[in-house]
Amino acid sequence: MIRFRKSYRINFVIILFGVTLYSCNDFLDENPDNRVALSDLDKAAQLLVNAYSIASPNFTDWMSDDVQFTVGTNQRLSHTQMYTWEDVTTGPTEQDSPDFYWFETYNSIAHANEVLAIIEELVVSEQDEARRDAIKGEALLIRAYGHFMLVNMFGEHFNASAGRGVPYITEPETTFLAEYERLSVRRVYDRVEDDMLEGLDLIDDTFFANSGKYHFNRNAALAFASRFYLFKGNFLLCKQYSDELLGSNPGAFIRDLTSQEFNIAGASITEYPRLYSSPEQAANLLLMRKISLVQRTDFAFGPDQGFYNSLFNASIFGGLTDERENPALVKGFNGVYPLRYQGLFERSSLNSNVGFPYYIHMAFTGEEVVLNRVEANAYLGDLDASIADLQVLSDRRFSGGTPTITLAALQNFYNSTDDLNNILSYLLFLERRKEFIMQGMRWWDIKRYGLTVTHDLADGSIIRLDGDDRRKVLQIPQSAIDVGGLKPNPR
Amino acid sequence: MRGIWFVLLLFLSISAFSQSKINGRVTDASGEPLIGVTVFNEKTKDGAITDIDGNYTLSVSSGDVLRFQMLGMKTQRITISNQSSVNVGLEEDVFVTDEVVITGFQTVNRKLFTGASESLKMDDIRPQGMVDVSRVLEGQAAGVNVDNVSGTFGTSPRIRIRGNASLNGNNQPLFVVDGVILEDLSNVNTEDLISGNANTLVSSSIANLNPSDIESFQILKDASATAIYGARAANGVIVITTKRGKSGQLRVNYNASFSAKLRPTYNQFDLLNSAEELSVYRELSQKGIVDIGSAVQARNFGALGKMYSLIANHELDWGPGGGLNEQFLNQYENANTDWFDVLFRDVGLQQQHSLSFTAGSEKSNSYYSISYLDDQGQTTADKVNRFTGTARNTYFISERFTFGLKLSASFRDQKAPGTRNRELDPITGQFNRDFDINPYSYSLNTARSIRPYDENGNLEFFRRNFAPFNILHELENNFLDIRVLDVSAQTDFEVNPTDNLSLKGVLQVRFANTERDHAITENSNQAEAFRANGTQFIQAANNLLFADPDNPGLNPVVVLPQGGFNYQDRTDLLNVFSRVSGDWSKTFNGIHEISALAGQELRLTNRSTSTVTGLGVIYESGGVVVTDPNIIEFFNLQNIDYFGLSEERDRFVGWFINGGYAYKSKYVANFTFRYDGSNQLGKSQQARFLPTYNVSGAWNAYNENFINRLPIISDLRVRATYGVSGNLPPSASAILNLQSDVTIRPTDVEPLLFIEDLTNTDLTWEKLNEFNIGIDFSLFNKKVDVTADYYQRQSFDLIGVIQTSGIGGQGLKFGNFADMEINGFEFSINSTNYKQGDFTWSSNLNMGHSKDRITNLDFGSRFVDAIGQGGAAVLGRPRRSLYSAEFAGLNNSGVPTFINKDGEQVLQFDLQERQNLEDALVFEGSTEPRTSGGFTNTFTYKGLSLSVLLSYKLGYKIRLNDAFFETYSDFDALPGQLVDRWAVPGDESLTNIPVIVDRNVAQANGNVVLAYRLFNKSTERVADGDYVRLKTVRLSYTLPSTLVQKVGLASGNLSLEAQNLVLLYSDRENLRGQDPEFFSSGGVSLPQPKLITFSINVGF
Repeated sequence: MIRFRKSYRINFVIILFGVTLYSCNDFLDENPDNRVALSDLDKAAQLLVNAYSIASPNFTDWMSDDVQFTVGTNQRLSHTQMYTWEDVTTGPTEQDSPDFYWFETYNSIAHANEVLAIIEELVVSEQDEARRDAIKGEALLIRAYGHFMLVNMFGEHFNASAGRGVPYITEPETTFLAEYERLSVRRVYDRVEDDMLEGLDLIDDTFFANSGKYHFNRNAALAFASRFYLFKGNFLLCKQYSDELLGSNPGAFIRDLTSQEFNIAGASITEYPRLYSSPEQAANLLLMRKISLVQRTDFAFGPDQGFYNSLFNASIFGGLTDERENPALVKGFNGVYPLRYQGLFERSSLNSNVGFPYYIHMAFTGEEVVLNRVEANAYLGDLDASIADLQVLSDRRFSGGTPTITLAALQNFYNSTDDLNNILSYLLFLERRKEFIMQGMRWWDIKRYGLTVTHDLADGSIIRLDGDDRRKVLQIPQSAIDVGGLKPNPR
Repeated sequence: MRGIWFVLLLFLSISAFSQSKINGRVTDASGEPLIGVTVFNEKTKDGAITDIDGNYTLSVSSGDVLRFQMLGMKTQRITISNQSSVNVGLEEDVFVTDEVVITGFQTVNRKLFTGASESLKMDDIRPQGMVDVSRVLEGQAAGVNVDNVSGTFGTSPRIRIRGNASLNGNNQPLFVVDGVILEDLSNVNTEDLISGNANTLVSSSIANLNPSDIESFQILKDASATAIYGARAANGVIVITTKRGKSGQLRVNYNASFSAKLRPTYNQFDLLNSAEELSVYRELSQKGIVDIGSAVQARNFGALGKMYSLIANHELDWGPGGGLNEQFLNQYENANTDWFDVLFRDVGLQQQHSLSFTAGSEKSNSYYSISYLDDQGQTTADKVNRFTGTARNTYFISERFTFGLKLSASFRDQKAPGTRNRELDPITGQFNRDFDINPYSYSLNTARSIRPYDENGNLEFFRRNFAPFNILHELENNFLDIRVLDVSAQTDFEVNPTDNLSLKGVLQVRFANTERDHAITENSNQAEAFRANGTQFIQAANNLLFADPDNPGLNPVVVLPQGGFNYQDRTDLLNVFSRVSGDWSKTFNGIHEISALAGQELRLTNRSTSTVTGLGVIYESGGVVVTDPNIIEFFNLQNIDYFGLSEERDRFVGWFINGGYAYKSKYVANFTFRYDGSNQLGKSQQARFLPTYNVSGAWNAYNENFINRLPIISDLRVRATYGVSGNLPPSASAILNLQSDVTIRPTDVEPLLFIEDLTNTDLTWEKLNEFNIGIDFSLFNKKVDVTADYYQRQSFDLIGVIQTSGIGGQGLKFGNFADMEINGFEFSINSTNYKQGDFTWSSNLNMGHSKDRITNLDFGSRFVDAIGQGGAAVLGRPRRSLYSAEFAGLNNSGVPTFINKDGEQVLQFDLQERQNLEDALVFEGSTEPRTSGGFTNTFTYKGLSLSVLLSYKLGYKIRLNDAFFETYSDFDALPGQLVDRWAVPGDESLTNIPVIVDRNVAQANGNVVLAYRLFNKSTERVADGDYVRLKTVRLSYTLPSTLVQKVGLASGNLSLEAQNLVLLYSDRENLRGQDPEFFSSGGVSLPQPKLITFSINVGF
């Protein structure tokens, strides 16, 4: 009797444990919170909404020859370090710094990689296949763009023998502290090109809600290709993708600053930048929200007033007004800041004065593609085509008369016997500088053409960054060296 | 040998022939008859049961042994010689005697228990006025440190057992009530307990318990004691056992306590009076800091600003010669408002009533109780009502099957001043709280020249947030209403198929609902601030006005034209707990005692939280809502949600096995193995499980002959344990964790997903290795009992944030990277110092000392964290290290300066840095007490008993509250030291109190402003935390039984006690009235009041 009871008891215990062991994995599979599973196309598309880096590249302006020492602004340590081309040591939490750009851009790449890791495995109906391809295309373009910007910031400008670029990440990180390796600039460019072209092939604007300007739409992708091949020195392809966007009507992609709309808006310091960076502008191809202080006139450096005036006075159209000069805000005691960005603020709570300042960044504009095409055509020897594009741009920039560009007028203006090609490029560089002033573009031109930069300091002394200076290749973050196992850039 | 047997047999045979009847009466300690006591003749196996008068009759022979047995009573054996009547008084078998340890899983003979634990009987330690059980333990148990960081009802004190095991994880011990883990109502991080935010009021579930229901506490401290709880037990376990029914007659117990909370006074604080304040205002006015222009534009103003604003409105004239209107100011100069008097009750009355019934028979027993707490509150703004009810029945279905049922419910209705959450300003390291109306903070921080009432007795308004403000009016119109309903049903069963085996099971289902209703009426300052647009300047400065992006030319507009707000937060907790276990034990040959325990535990916890904001609620019209559509856009643009929903799901499974062996009760060995699984790390098969184990041993040396012959020693045992326990990692996920949000941008709003955590296949639980060695001994016939323990704990794989290479996409990652070691000792001495006749003097001294040090930390803390109140983790230092900026004196214009990391004298430095922390800052010490404990002396004479408890904490530093600024407003209270402030060059050699800075200077040099922020975090603004507090003095009188019986009662007791009377020792010079224990963080936090309690306890 007792014997029977014992074995019964043991069986009971074994069964009990067996049942619970079997079911416990299911039991523990419950999600601890309202986290979202990446299980369908909607989720994949939503993940890409956040796959655009919140770090602005405009801090590079503080290293460029567009700024001079500005008195009366708050200059944080990182600002000063950039102005004097020292390695920035303030770490990734300091917005508007190389480290912040590195961390946030790799964060956007991670978003794209999570999508790319599962997109092929998602089971979708036949009519959703096109959408799947479009999402994949957007993810590829995000990945390509992120690496492209990183390699230009943390590597030398592209050439066949350029040194280390950045790690090219194609898969989600799954370990706590992974180690990585830097590819050469050339290999990074190759990968960017592969992803970009595949993305360009797949992208489809019909799936975007709203304006689609906050996503890599097809126009933005073409502009990216235009910039990519320009930087790579492949002018044929640069022209080809530029043409594909602009067609025979480049004016459609250039905002008309001489228009009544811009004139009226110019009376308001809030309305003008809103209009300028609005998704409704056809010239704005890709918009991104950037957490940044660059739009704040009380921080860092700006163009000196004297320099700023002389820059815009240097025009072949004497007597005409360059509409790009104004409106501009006073920055500190001696600086100015051309008004392109809205100063927006995200408060951490309702009555709080703590939060994040941000602005809407124009990552690609029609004006850039037009000027890319001007440059490509000039290299390819089609000066007439270059002049024609410059003319279209000038018509929308100068008021008070008719700006007419001819090679002869240029020769006259520059008082030069140089090669016509070069003379054209003088105007081109001037236009690029004026068009994109304080929009984070000048630094790339300085790198591309090996320009020398000088900066004045508070005590009146002058420091100099030579054309081939190693400091033009920004140092990668310290933790990428310590934790990621990367080799630092030589100094 | 044979001879003995012969005699014995002879004896037995004789007795067998002389069988006779015996009778008697069985009573309890108070003389009440006990019904249903089994009287069992062990020899003849014959038995009887006592009747309603406690009488029994049984046949016995001389030499027989009678066993008197009843549940809840200690079994007694009596050998019969030749008496015909045996009356027996049975003693209550209180589970917590010193003889057993209740682990929550089983009740273990203390001799066979190898862990470090301490048991406390509620009756011995209970301060009657204390309504929250978690605070009772302060100063009572060695190594248990209780910081009453806030005294508000419902807030949980910070309890640490043997220091903290984790850096970022939960550090509160696990509370277990009647075998079931008590889940918190909502998850509040240990560090947030000091925040004063509204959710701290509903963090703890302990506040829902009726203290009178509690029988005892068992504090499990070391790995061996807690091992059976596996993961989550790394911070120690507090096992609470509640009262249960007793067999016998119906007994009724009524307990009532009446407490008076004494109002704080200004005497203990060092603040300027209103006349002194006015002299500072005159300086502010001279220095151009406050003038008519700035005053009318000021966000806040008091007397001076009011004067200017009346002058500006031509309602008041300038003084003679265009100066200050001294006549007007005079009425404020003499106001000297005692805000404590205005806002606090002179005697806040608190009463607590508890009624319990116990009854039982041999088949069942029951315990019922109800209680009611009514607390008027310390201030005019807080109030608590709590009802609890418990029904507990145990059914003895057969000798081998017991079934228990427990239902308990509590309901709480609490009122508190309205508050929003505080925020850290990362630039200055200051916490800010908008619209704070906490009466205590208000009393300490508001100018005494401000009056609550004007000369006609009407409420007088000043300005705050650009709108009229009067604190009394605001407290009426801005308040929190909190309702908590906590209901649980629990069943226990125990089956004993054989004598050696017992199978136990427990199942509890609990539901708790918490609702917080924050009313901000249309008349409140907080609502009026949304409508403050009186002047062009205020329109520009008031960030509660909405600048419409679609109409950029327009002035900012009001988005709350009518009504106020109503914030509703609701949290539902559903908790299911089950455990089944089998317990087998057997003694072989009286030498080898073997026991084994195995079982499984399963927990399920769901919490769902929703928040809703009513916008434009008009309370006077019965809650009609008038919402301006602009307010929605205003909120959207700033990423402020007016609705929120979140869910937390906790799943936990554990299997455990425990074995013990004792040889002749002398040598004891024990092991525990436990295997736990949790879903908190996400759906990752590798990370979710954690095995923990423990081995331990004890030597009951007193059982050795060579020891028990020693004259002084009356008991001695030595214990040692080693084991691993675990802790659930905080906010870390082993798998990809995507969360959703909405884009913040002016156009193109879209839902989005973001990566909260990347997959981390390396993630594992936090773990703790612990070694403990302890000794228990008694001296002088058990007059002195001593327990001492020494331990070493190594926490490893601690989860923290680390800065990665960033390449994987997550710049800051949670991972296992930090290690910490904690060494310490604790001891307690219980002694009977003097005993003569009816007079006894006994005392208990306990002390716990622990020292923690971080041994591995890859990613340092920011300066701004290390100089803050809570301190920060620094390699080679304690986990909560407090650092200071090194003060270098005032400069020749009276502005504070500091030494930076390069040894230069500077006004400020970057506080966001993490590098070279040791060079830039001065290490002050830990913000957590190294040593704490209590000292109780009890004197009893007959029924009279006087008990005095001192509690103490030693070895830590406190960051003083911010007190000095570059300028002061006429709204803020001013520190008394300001009298000694720098005034003229040369003063810097006499004083360290910085100057009030000229307005132009402050505007021209932002560093000056930052210098003042840093001054508040400098070596000048630190105090020692050490204190000795006269915690409790209690005089109680147990009425003599002759007297109580005359009036028809069973028992009676009266007591008078005082709590938190006085700080006997503290760093008075530096603290200047600041309480070393209490964090004055505003919101809902209030210090523990001085409390005088009268209580009565009667039994029927």
